[in-house]
Amino acid sequence: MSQALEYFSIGWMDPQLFFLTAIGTFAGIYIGAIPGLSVTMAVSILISFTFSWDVNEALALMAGVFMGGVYGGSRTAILLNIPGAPSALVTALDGYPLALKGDAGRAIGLSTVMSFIGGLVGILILMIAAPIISNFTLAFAPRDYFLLAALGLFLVGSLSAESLSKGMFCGALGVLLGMVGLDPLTAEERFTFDTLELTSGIPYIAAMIGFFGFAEILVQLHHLDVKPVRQNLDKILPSLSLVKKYLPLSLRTSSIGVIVGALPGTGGDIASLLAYDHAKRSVKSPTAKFGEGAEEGLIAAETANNAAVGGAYIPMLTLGMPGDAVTAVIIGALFIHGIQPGPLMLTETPHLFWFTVGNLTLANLFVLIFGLTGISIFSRIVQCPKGILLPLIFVLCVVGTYAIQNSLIDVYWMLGCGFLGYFLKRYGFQVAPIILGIILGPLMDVSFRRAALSVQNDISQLLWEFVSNPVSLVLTSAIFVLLITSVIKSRQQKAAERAD
Amino acid sequence: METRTQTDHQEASARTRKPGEHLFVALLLLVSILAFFLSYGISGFASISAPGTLPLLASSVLVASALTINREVWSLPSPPPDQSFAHMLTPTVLINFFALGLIYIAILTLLGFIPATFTYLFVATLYLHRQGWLLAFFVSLNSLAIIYIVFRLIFKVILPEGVLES
Repeated sequence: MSQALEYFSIGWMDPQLFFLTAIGTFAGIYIGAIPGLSVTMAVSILISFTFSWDVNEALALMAGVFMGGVYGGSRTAILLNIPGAPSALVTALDGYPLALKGDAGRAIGLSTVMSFIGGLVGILILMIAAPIISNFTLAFAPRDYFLLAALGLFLVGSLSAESLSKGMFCGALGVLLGMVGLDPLTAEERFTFDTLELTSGIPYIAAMIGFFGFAEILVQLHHLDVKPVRQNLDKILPSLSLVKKYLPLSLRTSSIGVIVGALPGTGGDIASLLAYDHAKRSVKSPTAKFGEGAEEGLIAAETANNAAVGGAYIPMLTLGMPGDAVTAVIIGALFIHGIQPGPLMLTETPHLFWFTVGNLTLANLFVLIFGLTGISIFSRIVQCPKGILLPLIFVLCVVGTYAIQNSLIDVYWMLGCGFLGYFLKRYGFQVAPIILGIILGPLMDVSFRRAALSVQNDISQLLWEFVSNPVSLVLTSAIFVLLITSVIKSRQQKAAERAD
Repeated sequence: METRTQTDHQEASARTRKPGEHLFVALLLLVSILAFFLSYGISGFASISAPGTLPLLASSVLVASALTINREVWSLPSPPPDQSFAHMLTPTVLINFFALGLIYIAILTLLGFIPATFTYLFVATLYLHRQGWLLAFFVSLNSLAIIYIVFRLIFKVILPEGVLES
């Protein structure tokens, strides 16, 4: 135990490691806040110039960027309705309406403290229950991944949409857009129309910037004469009683975040979705309607996506399997340094496990410190006249999209998605399910087909497996319950509208 | 003070068809049907693990939901006569802004990032903000400097080089 504590505190005691974690977290927050600059990209770049460093130094910097980046995505989601990263998609649902009401400072303050709590829960569970959770996630078969992705997509489709069919339409559209390109299992072309540019698929970052960023600019052009909302910056730091009030919810949503984060291939995006849905169902009297500035919605999303960071490290450190794209890159970095993450890591190199845990804890603390600074500067962005702000955001959209793979084709994709997104928004469609569909579509596709291959394409056997396995049964039941309640709710809403 | 949420709520509760909505949803249905046939064309109903299975499933959901949306929208009363498609969806400012954006992307490859972005920011700010050219000039210059420092100098992002620049 004392040895574990010694390894844990290495990053805290060594000034160089302490400084590197701080720098990484600070940079991560701003990288995460800029759409087009992803945490995965930043960590990948870091590998190129840290491979000659000591492994502890490289890991300290990467942990900081990862932790800061996941949190940073919420800034632009709250202020501009442009999520800096997919894990902040759900944050925008209630964060942006809060900014429109003049509560951007309060929203950022709350999201910072809750991200810290979520991150802490993730790390605590990583410390205590890593081997147990790893074994649990190993019980997930491909069919369960398919069901989980379908559940995630269905959740977002049913969230805050004007009608259920519009949500379903957007989710299915996203899945189809995610199918464009080469089939990952057989390399067969799908929806490419024999065009070379389409074989690599539609870059989801370009689509995300288009559907959220550019479409929002076009919508805002209708409100050019509306005076910018004056942001209330008197009370940024949430009171202790407020934190206490939301603590039970944040602990529940953090736990969801850790479990989803621990599933290989899933990350903060699905975690925040499931947590948001949990909050929507469990909170009887939110501060505002969900989707219109409910603090509970913001808290659920932010705790879950930061808790998912700790979760993503669980399969990486205990099984050698990446929990998400960033941990996949970190595994690469470990290989470069001659370290093999996996089941033997806890016994053969326990110092590395405890060092990582200590480092993540430190990075999480820096999220709180750096997150609570600079809020007034960030919040003033939304007070800037739209005539100045909109051209600037457009340039950021173009540069952010171009930065993905230095291609103008991606910029045209962004414009096309934005134009479509604008019309969809004006006619009452939600664009979030489209983005989630693009991200989750390939996971659903590969998982479903692997599940089908495992039963020799026997459809009745596959359907039986959906209900005969405990994990699959829970997920299948959740989808059905959600479907039935959504249909009932939709009908009740229409009946109420007719009665009016 | 009008917020987006309030606007959306007002629009949602108006319970009349929005201008051009019936044509838009009809177009979505047509695209959905086309997507279904394209999905079928990938591998037909060969097997459940074929590359076309999920696209077929997704496009079926697309067609079914598009049909429901069409039924909902076509049953709504027509939009009030004072609402027009041009007013609600394509006001002049939007068309001009979109055209400016297209011109900007076109000249990016010709002039390169710095001159093209400065020109775009200057013209767009002058057009949207209408507070004189001096303010537009300084705002554009500062914005460009910040973007260049963050993307090019700090994050080493490669920015578009123009034909003339190279």
